[in-house]
Amino acid sequence: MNIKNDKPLHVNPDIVFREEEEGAFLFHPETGELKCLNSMGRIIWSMCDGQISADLLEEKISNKYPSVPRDEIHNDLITFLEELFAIGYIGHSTAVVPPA
Amino acid sequence: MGIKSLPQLRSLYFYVSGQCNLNCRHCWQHKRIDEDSMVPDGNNAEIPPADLFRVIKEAKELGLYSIKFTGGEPFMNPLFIDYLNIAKNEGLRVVIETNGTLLEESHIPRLKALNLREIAISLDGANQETHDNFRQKKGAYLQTLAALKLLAKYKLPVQLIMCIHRKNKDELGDLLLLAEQYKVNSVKINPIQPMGRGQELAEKGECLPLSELLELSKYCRENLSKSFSGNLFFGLPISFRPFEEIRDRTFSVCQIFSILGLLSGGELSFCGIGHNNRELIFGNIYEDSLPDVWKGAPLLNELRQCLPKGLKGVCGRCLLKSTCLGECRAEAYERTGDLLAPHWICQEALDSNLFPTTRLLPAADKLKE
Ligand code: SF4
Repeated sequence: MNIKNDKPLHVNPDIVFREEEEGAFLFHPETGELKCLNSMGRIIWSMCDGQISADLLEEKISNKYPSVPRDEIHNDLITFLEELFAIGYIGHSTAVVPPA
Repeated sequence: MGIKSLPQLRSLYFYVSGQCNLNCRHCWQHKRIDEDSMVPDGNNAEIPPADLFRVIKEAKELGLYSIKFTGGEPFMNPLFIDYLNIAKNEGLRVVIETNGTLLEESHIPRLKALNLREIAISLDGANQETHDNFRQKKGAYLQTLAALKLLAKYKLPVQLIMCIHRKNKDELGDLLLLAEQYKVNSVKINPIQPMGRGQELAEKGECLPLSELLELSKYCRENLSKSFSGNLFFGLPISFRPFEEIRDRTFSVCQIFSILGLLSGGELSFCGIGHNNRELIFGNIYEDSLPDVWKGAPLLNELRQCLPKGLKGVCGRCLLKSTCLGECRAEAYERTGDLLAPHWICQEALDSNLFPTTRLLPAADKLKE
């Protein structure tokens, strides 16, 4: 299953999220797997509050980093979200999203 | 454990000799070395090269890629050069750990012919008195420097290993200058492990306290490594490393699942820990087939099952446990008799509030609350 760009995203509450100066760790307590996020990954993870969609995330990040081409933001964001979605670290929630 | 999940045997740690010509104050294998040194010259049973050859062939079937020759002092074994020839002919990547005092120019062609990753040489001070006192052998320092000079002359890759303690910590800067002079590729600073004779050093207060080790490691990273042209490593568990190093995996950890220790008497164990703790020997190359041991030794399989999930204390609560596997399991066993005991440095750090909190899970009892 792929990400639906207009559906809200939430993080899996079982995953341990630890912020570090240069990024963050994601730790899966069952498997012991550890993932390292860069600073942008850390920001995105923190924003997945169950209310925000991929479209809205893209919008917010683009506003924050106007010098980065929109295409680049879109591609990086979707790749990042798809990867975490595929392994169950993030999922879609049922909240209604305000339009991007 | 099913055959499918059997890890590859990537590296053989061969404890070439049970003897040593030095008497180092931190040696963790001194029990075996002391015993072997009691045997009159010539009575020590070295592994016949044909047997090493057979073992390597068997190990290659299991994925063997590299061999580390260590000891005791490898050059004490008269068959060492024959062993090196076998490693060369089998195309193995080679690491040699030596005190360097017995290295001669006549060895160089053999070393040059190897697929050599590095020769790790111990040097515990930037002056003769410090090193010789620690190694308890007059003249050892000059002999080791002569070896470094030879290795530099023939452009062989060298790692210097320094055991840091109260009496040599101020020589770190000068030691790096020596390292530059002899064009070594890397320097590794190791805290003294409280095992074997290292335990006595700890009891005498000659080891550095954790807070000082942490400060020194920071100083190395932020200052000394910038002026040194090679790589500078500080041997603390990865929990103390900056995030970027963990993210980029610019560290090495013990690959306990893919190594096997071959002791000087032909016994098989996790590593040299079998020298000190005979109960951790799970085979012998003269009696057992290597694949059978690798696949079926209960101790090996138990560890494969239990690591990292069964780690105790701080290691059980550590976010990095799957990567680190609790650092040195030999040290944990030597200290506590439990292969799953927490690593002493990290546990001490936790107990004294020095463990990085972002890398720690809540204690199990806290989770239940
Ligand atoms: S607490 Fe244990 S697993 Fe974590 S870094 Fe330290 S030694 Fe490794």
